[in-house]
Amino acid sequence: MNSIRRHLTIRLLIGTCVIGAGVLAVVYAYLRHELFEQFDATLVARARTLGSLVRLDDEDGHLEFELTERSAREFRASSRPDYFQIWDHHGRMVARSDSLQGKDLFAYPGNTDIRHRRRLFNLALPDGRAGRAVTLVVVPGLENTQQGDQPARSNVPNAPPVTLMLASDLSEMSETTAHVLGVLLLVFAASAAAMVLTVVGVVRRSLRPLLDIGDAAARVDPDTLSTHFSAGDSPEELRPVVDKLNDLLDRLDSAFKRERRFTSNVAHELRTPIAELRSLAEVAIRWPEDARSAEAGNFQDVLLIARQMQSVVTTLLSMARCQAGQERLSLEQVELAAVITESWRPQAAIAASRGLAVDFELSPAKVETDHTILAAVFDNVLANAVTYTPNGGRIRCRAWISDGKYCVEVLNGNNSLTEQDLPFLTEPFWRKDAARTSSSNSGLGLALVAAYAKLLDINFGIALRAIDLFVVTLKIPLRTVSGAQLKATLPAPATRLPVEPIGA
Amino acid sequence: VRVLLVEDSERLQRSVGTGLRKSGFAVDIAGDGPNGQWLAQTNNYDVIVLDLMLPGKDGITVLKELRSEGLMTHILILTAKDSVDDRVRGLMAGADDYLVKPFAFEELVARVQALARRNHGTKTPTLQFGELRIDTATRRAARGETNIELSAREYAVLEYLAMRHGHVVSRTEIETHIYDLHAEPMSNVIDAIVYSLRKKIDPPGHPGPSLIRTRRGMGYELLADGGDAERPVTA
Repeated sequence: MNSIRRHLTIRLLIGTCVIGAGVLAVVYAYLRHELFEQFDATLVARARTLGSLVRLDDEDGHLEFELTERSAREFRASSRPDYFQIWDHHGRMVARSDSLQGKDLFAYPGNTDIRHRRRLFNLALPDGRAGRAVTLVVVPGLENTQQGDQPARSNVPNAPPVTLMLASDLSEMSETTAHVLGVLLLVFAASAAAMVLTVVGVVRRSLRPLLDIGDAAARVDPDTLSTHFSAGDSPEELRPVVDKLNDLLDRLDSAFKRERRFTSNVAHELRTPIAELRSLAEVAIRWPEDARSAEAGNFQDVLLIARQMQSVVTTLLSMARCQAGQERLSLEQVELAAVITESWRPQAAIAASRGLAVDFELSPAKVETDHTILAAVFDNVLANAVTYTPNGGRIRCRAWISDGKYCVEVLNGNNSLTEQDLPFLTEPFWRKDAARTSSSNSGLGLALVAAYAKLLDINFGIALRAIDLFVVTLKIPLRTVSGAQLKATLPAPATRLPVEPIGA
Repeated sequence: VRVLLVEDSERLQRSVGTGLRKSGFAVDIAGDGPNGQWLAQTNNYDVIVLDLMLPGKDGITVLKELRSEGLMTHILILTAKDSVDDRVRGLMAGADDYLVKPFAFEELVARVQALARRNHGTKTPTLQFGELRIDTATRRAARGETNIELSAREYAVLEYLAMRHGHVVSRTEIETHIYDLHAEPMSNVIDAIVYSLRKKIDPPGHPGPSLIRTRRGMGYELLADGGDAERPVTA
């Protein structure tokens, strides 16, 4: 399973170990280099000392070489002797160490150019050990015995140079470098162990806020959606996550509340008419003589209840089909103003009976759309306006073409809605009257309008204007609902089609 | 038994009101919260059937306010709200019973009867007064093994006197519990009903005083035994 903690721990450990190993490797290489430099410097210094012991006799021109007793001990046969050999410029041997036991240390390296008179290299010593050698080309000093008791020594610039090779055992150096390497490996192992503990602890502590958020999220259930994650204690990097989670909780809480309202409202909308039917039937069965006298009224009630329930169920099914994308469109050329006029017709008598003043101002336009669904949209919008406009109030319906859209605006007087109610207006079964007394409305009208508007690609909006004006706006694209091709027949811009008579 | 039905559905008002009246209850009806509260405050009901989702003032508020005013009438909540939270909220607000719509009318009647009995300190549906037995569930009366044929009004008066057993009940109190607001009984109608009742519940040739004793200037009292005339009474 993918785990941030494991991933971070492994990567950090690998990274720190690689870096640590690299650092130690560099340290080791540096120390080894320094040790060899020091070894080489010592070797060269000793070779120079040996070279200074080579003398040219000014009388017979022979080369002489004489070791001090102290120096001679280093070159005698022992467990770890050093070796040297000296050649004149003709390659004839001038001197060699006792430790060579008469053998040559190395093949004569040749008459080396004075400019390259020092060369260091590894080699196998005569006794098989690993060793390092230096070859020096030196100018012998002059042995002058004519000036006093002490011999005077001086270099002879034009004297023929001699070649000196000094070889020394490397095993001590190898032991030293191995010891250094061992110490460094021990340091690395200890550091790695400390790093493991540190990384595991740091990662665990750093990821604690994430785990806390996970624990808090696990405790969230539908009853505690209103509680929020605390952003105050979270690291800065997690605050955007906490904010988004809190936003998600808000949306979930809102959705759950909406779902509960829907369930409660739908229960009421269905339970009440069922209770009415059942009560009506039981009383009629128990006292049939009374039921017979009230037969017509009872049947009327049954019919109204059936219509009410049919309306609720039909609307719910339509909305479900819309939401599931199963509502099929039957496209045809539709005269929009005529659809509005037709939708108003059943409302006209009701509006007149309640003394509502009605103004219609509609521009003509045709669009290819589903006539039945569009008519249902206007049926509900206009019925809504008539139902909720106070007696003696005013309804105004305007339609015009703007920006490639047929804009319809229905304004009606309203004295009950507030801005806080607007988000709920398109919620199925929502009613301003919490008692839900009226049986002629179920609170599904605007919810169905919203669903149908979405289906027909109509921009649907609701708003409160001034204090007591409720406004519904519908912006219908003047093209087919299934494509972008403009198929509307646009009238001349100044043309207005008054609808007469409406509201009479 | 007088019942107040507070329900905003006109169809339920009609059907439930009719059914309760036919079951022998005097029924007043209110269609909204404020009117229902006012009727409950100004009349003496045995049981109130209260919807929760009411226009004007919701049922829970009405219930709480009535209880805070000290009204002790038994209240049955009749509502479409069926969640456990709703039930708990209703009962915690002071309701005595809770019935969810849709409901069986028989169940509503039984619950109203049970609450009415509790209102008068009686738990059994059968009330026994010597040989006289009144079954409030079937709304029948019998003396010994013989059924007594009673009209609805006669039964209502007898049942109320039986429930108020041990108390002298005034004519006005009887009227208020067996007639609803719309009834306008004649001034001597209770006397006429009691006269008729005495003829039916007292056995033929009954030598002693009637089971229903008249207390001059006070009202009537149903005695456990016709001979128990000297027992002290409380009004």
